[in-house]
Amino acid sequence: MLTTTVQGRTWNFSHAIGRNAAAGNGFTQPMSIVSFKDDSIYVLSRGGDGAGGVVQPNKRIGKVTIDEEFIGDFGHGDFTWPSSLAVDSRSHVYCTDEHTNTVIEYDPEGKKMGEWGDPGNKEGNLNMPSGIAFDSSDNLFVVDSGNNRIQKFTREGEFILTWGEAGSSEGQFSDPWGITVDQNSNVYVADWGNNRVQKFTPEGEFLLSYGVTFPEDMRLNHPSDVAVDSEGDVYVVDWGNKRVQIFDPEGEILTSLYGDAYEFSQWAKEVVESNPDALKAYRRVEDKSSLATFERPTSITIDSQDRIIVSESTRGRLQVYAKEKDYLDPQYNL
Amino acid sequence: MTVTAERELLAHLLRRAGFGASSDDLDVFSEIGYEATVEKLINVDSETAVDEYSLLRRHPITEVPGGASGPGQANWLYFMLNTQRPLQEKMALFWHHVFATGNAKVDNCNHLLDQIAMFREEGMGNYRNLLVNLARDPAMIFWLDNNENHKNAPNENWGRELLELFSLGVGNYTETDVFECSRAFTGWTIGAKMPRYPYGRHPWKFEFRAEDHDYTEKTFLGHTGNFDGEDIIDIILQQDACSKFIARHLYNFFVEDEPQVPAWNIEAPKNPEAVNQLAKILIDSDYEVKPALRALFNSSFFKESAYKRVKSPVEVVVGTLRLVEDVLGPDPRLESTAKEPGYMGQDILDPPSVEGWHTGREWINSGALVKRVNFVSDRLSDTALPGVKKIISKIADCDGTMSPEELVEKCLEQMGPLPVKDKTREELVSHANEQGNITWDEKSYEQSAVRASEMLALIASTREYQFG
Repeated sequence: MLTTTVQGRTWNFSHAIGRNAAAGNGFTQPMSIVSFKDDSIYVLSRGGDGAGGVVQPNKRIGKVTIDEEFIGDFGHGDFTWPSSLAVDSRSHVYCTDEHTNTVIEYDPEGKKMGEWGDPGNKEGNLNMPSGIAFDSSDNLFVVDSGNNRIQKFTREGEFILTWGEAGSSEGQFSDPWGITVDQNSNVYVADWGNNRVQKFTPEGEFLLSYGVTFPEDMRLNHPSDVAVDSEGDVYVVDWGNKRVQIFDPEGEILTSLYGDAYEFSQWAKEVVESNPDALKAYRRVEDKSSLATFERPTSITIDSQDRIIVSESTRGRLQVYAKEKDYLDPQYNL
Repeated sequence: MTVTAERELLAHLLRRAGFGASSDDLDVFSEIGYEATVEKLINVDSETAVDEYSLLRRHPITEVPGGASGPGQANWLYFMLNTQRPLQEKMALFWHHVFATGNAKVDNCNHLLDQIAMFREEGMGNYRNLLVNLARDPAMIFWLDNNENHKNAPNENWGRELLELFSLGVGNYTETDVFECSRAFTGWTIGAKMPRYPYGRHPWKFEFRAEDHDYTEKTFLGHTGNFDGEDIIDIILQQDACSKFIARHLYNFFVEDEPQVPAWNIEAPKNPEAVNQLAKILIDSDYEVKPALRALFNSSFFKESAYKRVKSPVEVVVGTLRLVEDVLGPDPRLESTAKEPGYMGQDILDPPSVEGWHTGREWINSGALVKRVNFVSDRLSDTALPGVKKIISKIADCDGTMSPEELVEKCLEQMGPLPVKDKTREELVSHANEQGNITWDEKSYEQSAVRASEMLALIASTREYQFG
């Protein structure tokens, strides 16, 4: 469905960005995306590990505009298992590496400014850090996946506080992944192994769980990321079910997005149109639905205009939806 | 049976029906005994399946590796290294040997992995189901050109290999049977799929095209009728040669190295009685595989077959890594490690031809042997690895000082137990004697651990470890 409408809310599919590519105007297993104030998006390509066991150049951070202009990329060779991105108020980009247990900082031009993080399980140590998100004071929440906890640091890496432990009760985690901070400074964590999203106060007090009390087909299956729009609706990347679940602020399910990219992105179109054999092959296919649907969605970000952007690791693509504020649905019998 | 003999027998079972066992594993299985261990291996549902999601989260490229064999091999290696259902994975490997399908032509590890998943799920089920699934398997259809097998222009590739390598063996059918068999599979093809550009691979799907199927009469192995593919498979299963062919494959894979498959029509099985016994069980059970496996592992011919097989490269690599507990779970070295069996002659997901790998002594040549020994020695001499640490702590569990003979005995116990020939033992003791007694007090522990690990590495090069 290009347009999804429920209870006073409408999401319109806008367009796709990117394609599978090991360099340049494409992505390689995009694992994390973050929108930026100048209509640009940072995209983290996880890449492969390589048969030689060496760091592959396809691991990188790309910068594109929402209109699909390729700005450039950086970070080549800096990480082993890059996992998540966040941007602070100075427009510096931060990236976690869940193998080296570090957080790497780049300036707005992509110059590496430094890195911090020590492996371990003591306060301030990291063990497979994945999702990261800044609050409005430039403090960084880090999902310390291997230690099943959330840690809060200054942007220089000084430890502030922590909460959580392994388990499935409220406030406990099982290999958590993505994280976001809403306008009220509340923290949402994709509790991957527990098939839920948990909401906390900035100090780590448990508030709410999403996705656990619904009928079977609506429950979350290993959610990887979460985002909140300007009206408080909560978007969860339902990684295991290959969809995005949308909840109202109270945690009630609203609807699901399954991916709608029937049209190629601009970059993808260039590739297909330059390959007559590929064009022929597309014309032979009767059911093209797998072209459109999310194929292993990993990450979500929402920009200042409430445009929802979702990355798909196996398609090397982003899909963009717009939340329409003034959508009218007159009951004409068309 | 002595405790040692029982432990050696269990170790033998777990090497063949799995990828070996640590000393701690053997303690657990010794408690329940041999026959109960066989049942535990066969009834896989008692153990949890591999957590594939952890692999896909940390190694997303292994989910849809496309034509890149490295990530595809990494995917399967992860299963073999981490499975609690070792026989299930071993049976997937068995069927991969028999129904050899290779990425060199298929250029699509996504579907090769689907095929392996099918072997994993159904490999201990019914052989007829396996053949039907195989005939509909997109990787196999492309591998053996059944997408080019048309009503008005039959292609015999799939039909021939179905008879020659997947069910009957050379000498048990005629050229006419090959042609008639192929006609029955016309129209069994794969639907048009979207190209890999620009978003990566989209799935192939089996498709039956009625308009391209030859509905006319066929005569196959003495039967005449308007046969389709499933009818052909049913007629194949009625042949004595079929059950014996599969039984011989089971014997070759689990019990003792046989001659290479192309020689089977001119060289008799090494143990015809065992093969016939397994063949009868297959027929009596309508080709259920589990009863044959149960009988095989409980048979005296199996129990007496220790060291009658050369370990395949996959067995060397997976068995060693499980023993030393290295590259278990997600690990950036997974993909490079998945290449190791290939360096020793067994590129998984990419056998050299539809005939599969030549096994037994053909695993060994001057290059492969050095690779095998070095791979194992490098890991067993790494005292930082968790499994090596455990082994050394067990070796060190003594009164404080041990003789070179005791060191050798304890190392052999931890590596198997591995009953080596006298000559081998003499060589090992001779090496251990060079530095005299070994002391395990706090001051000497680290140095003694290095000596013990060197002995483990030396044992890795013995015939017994490389056979298994």
